[in-house]
Amino acid sequence: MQTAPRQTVPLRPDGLQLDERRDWQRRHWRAERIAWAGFGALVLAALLGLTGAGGPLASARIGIGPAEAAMPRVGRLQRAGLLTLRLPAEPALHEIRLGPGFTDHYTLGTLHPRPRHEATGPGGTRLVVAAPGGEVRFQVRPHRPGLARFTLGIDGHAARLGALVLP
Amino acid sequence: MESVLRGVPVYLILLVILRLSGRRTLAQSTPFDFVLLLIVAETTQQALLGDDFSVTNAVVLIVTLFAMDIAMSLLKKRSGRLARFMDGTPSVLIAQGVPDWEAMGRARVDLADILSAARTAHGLRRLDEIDFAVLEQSGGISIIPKA
Repeated sequence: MQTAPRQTVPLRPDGLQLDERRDWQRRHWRAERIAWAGFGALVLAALLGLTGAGGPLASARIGIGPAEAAMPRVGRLQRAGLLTLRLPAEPALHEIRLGPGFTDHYTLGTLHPRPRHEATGPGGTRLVVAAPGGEVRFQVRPHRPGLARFTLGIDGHAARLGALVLP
Repeated sequence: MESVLRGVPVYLILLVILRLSGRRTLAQSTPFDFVLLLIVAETTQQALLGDDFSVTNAVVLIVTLFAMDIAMSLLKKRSGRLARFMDGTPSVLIAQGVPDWEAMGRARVDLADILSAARTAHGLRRLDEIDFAVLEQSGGISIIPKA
């Protein structure tokens, strides 16, 4: 015959029989308070834009020769972001190169204005665009989490861009 | 594979956040707590499904979540510490008619909550009719009236 496993629930001096474990509970209450501070920090980080999806610290700007690129500093998996390039008036047509590391983490979406020429190869993606308004906008959608690093070239000048893609 | 890789972390993260938010949240004691739990359920849905709304994905996710639940219950049997973290332990709020202010403050329970439980469960009218009040693992308050 199988005997029931021995289970004991302590009896308190006041007659109540329950396993309260007050010391453990105190430690858990302390952990709760620390977690609440963590929740607040996460909300603050999100408001500042450090978790992606907008905010004052969401975008990073970098100069590339006479041009400037602005890109989300933190992205989220499958959430589209904007890579914005501010280009000088000359030349009329600009050559933009997205290094191979770009497609490791991103899918290129809508480009505005539409490029005159687009080619993708082992060396990355080459685009030729006219930017009469001085601005080119790419919709970029991360498809892999992690640290995304790629080289962005504009009219012969190049810079390394990086962003953290959150899962 | 992605279904499991989404389901497991979402389950664990939700479990940890719920445990660390405090037991009163679990009790759905106020409309706010109830609304919170409804919204959380909706919020996690998209994280679980991603952009795959197929029946296959739903089945894999459901089975994954149930498997996690079973695995957790088996792990709890082996580890008392894990069981305590996941389920908590009861906290005595009133012992022999004397309120434990430390426990009540830490657990965010006030006398009004205890009196409400006393009225609901036993029709008690006053604090001095309560012998013991215990905040249970479920977040509910159980009342033992004085004889």
